[in-house]
Amino acid sequence: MDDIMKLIRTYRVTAALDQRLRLADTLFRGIAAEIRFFVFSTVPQEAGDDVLQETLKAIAAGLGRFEGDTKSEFWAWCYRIARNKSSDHFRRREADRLHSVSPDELLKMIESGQPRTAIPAQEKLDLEYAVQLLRKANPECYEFLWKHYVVGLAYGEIASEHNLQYDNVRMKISRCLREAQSLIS
Amino acid sequence: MADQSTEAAAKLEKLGARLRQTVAAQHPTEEKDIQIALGAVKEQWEKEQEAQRQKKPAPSKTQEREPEPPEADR
Repeated sequence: MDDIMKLIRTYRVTAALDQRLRLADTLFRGIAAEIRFFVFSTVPQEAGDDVLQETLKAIAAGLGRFEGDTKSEFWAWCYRIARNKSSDHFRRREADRLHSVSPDELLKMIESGQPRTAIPAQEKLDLEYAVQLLRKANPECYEFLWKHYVVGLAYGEIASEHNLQYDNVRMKISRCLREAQSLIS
Repeated sequence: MADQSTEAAAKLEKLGARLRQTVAAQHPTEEKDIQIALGAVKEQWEKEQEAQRQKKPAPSKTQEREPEPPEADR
């Protein structure tokens, strides 16, 4: 969705309710799937719907006050809201977020969502290797590798979430990847 | 090693892409999710309207007050 920023800029200067609703409708239809993936990657599936709805409500309520100018700033803002809503969930349930998605469940999840023949053999091997990497990583590395490569968060977003320097995160992720690889070979 | 790391990174990214696809297929965006977001937009708009109404200065009391009747002669 390339015109996200155009929609948001128009939304910010629009006062009429019917126009705001029209803009928000287009925007949310464009971003909901990505937000859902992010939420489902951080909380157990059974809590996903509730956390997703809380996240969408908070994004909608704050949209007029969002001050960023770029698409990446917008996504970082959305992810921050989703993270806060996920944390609220964990605070309520006192669960450990890292256990919400175990590496072993990942392949099962993918396979259950595809017809048997849908994943080519080579790709299946690649996916198994990726899951092995996550399985070998220590809990901290698992979190960093998961967030950067699987969820797709940029170094900067992870840095601000963990209160670390950008370069520290970049080097840590690179080190985690090398370590996990060496444990497999 | 750098090449191997790049390959490993690509495999993790492939895992992310497949998971994204799976979640999208198993949990398509539902109309109720969109309606919830639109409900929040409406609620926010109503709050803003209310805040604006409260910001507007109240009409001056002296202007509204009717002229007092002349005091009766003592």
